[in-house]
Amino acid sequence: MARRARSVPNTGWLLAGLAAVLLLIAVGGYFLGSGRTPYRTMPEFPVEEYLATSSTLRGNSYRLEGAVLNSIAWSPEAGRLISVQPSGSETPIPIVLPATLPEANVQKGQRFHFQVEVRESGIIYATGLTKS
Amino acid sequence: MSTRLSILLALLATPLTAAGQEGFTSIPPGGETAEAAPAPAAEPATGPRNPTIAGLEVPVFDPANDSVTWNGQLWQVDNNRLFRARFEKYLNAPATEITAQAAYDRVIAQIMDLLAAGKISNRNLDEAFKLLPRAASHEEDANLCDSIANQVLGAWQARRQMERLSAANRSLEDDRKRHEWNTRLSLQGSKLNPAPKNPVAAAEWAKDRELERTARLQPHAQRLSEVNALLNANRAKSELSALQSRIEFQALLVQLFIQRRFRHVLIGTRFYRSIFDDGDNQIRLGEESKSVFAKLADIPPTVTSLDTFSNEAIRDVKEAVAAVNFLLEKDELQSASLRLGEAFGIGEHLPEIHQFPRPDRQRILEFTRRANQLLSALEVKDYTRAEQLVAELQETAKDFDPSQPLTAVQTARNVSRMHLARARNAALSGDAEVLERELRAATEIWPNNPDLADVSGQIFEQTDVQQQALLELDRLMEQGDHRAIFRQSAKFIAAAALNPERQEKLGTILAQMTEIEGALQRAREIQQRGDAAGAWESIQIAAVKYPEDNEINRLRADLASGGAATFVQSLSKGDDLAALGEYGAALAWYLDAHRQYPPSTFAQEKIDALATRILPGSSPAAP
Repeated sequence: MARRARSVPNTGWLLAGLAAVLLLIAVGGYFLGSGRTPYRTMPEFPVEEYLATSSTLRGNSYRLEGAVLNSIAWSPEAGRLISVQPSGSETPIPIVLPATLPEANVQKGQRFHFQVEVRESGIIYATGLTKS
Repeated sequence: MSTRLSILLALLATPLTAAGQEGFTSIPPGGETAEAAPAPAAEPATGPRNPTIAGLEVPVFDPANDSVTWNGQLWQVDNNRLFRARFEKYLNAPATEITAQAAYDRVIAQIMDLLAAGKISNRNLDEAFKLLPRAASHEEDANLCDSIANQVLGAWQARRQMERLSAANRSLEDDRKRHEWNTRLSLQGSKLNPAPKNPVAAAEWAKDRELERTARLQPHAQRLSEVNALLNANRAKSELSALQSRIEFQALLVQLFIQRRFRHVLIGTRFYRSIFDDGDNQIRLGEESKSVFAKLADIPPTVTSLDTFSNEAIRDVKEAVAAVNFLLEKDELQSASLRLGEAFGIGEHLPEIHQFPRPDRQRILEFTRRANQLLSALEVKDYTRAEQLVAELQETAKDFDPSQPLTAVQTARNVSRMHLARARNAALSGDAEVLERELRAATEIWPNNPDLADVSGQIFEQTDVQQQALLELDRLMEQGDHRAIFRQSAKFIAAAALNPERQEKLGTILAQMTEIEGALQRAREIQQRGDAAGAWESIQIAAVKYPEDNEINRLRADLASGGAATFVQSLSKGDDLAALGEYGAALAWYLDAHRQYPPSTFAQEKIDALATRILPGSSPAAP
């Protein structure tokens, strides 16, 4: 007796479905992830350039992510000066956290997203920060 | 014997002193002859004065120590340059001179033989007189025989003059007698013409007769008076002529005696006695000169005494020469030399001395030269040479006594060494005044002392080294090469010990160098532990204080280009940016340096400084 052929799903359709799922995952991930990175519209802080010629960066704003290395100085009026280890660089960068900046617990080893601005004398001031 | 000898030597010393007073060497009053000093300056005589002749002091010989007292000083007879020179000249006389003297001696001997006491006669006197010019033709005679011949001739002429005066006096005597006779006859008057009887006429006649007698008597009386005056004048002239001739002859004899021409004295006395045969031999030299003889020998000065002294001197010389020959046979050259020297001093002009064999003279000359060299060496204080000469003399002469010169040498050596030891100590202690004084004293005592040269050399070398060290110190200070000074600190400390200014500068330099060396040592130790950045920081602190030190700079450069390169580079970049006012970036570099070397004080200080600048009024925050 002839066997009745079983119904086999179309392979093309399977592959297309798989690709669509993957695409959805990727797009979702993109949107979900970018939603957690602050100041993403700002350019990343050019560490090497800053170390070489900081005067050319004066007046610019950047975003910078890094780990807090040390608290160097503190003044109730002027704020706090910390050293930050930027991602992708070994050279610590000093950042002034002005007293006017919304209070945030900055502790050694914590990672932050900083919105920074290079001001007079090449001093980097944080204009915003968010914990990573 | 010694008294007579003293007279002889006292007299013979006169021409020597007159000829070369400065040639004498004096000896101390004690008679010690170890050190012969130069002739002293004239000093007032404190003791009894010697007798004088014609105002000149006569030296008096003291046979006890072979010395002559003269001009207030004591002189060694056989130890003076003049005598030594004459004696050496005699000993070194060439053979031709000895031969010539032999011919002369033969003529003199011939004259003396003719005038010998047993042979004297008018014929021998004439023969001897004829030989005098022959003797005078010899150089050795010094024309003394001519002087004798002239004196004899003068005496003979004086004698003939006296004879002529005697003949004249005899004629005058006859004339006087004739006039006395005539006077007597004139006084007696004529008996052929008697007086008249008339008293008046008789008176007139007597008066005429008296006038007539007076007229006859007057020429005879006048002539008689003249003759008497002439006679008296001739007698006085004769006596004066005889006395003058005698005194001149005596003066010649005394002069010959003083000149030690004893054979000439004998020749002269023989002629003298033949001419002045009245037995009056007394020498008329004046009271002062007579006293010379009286004081020296307590005898009256006569021609006979001169004759006797001369004979005795000749005999003494013969005996001395015989003794010299005997001593030479026994190789006792010192005694032979002394005896021959004494004989030469007395009988320099006698045949025994003239004919003394030349080979024997040479032997004595060799010894005498060395002895004289020894005396000279002692005089100039060349004691090394004196020692050599003493050794040579001991080999040559069996009787040479080295004790006196060796004692002088040893004494001088000891005293000189004592002064040298003091000089050495003074040099070590840096007492320049004592050093100079002791060196001078040592030099004066023994100028050629070999130890003196060594010690002086050492001292001068030491002084030279010290001076060179000070010059080098000054040069290094000027160059700022303190490390070189530090490496030779011991030398420079010693050299600058007497120089407070240099000493202070040197002290400062050495303190700095000690600090630098400490920093270097610490840096090297840190480096050896593998902490290059720490080593660099350690040496950088010293480099800031002593930027000129080469060693610091070298080590710092090594570290900056080696193990601590990135650390130093971070600090350096931070400094550069800080200098440009880029405090933010500068702080970043300092933080980088601190990251590389967390114990870094340099990085921490710079971080703190910039933190204060960036956040005025801030305080270091706890991390």
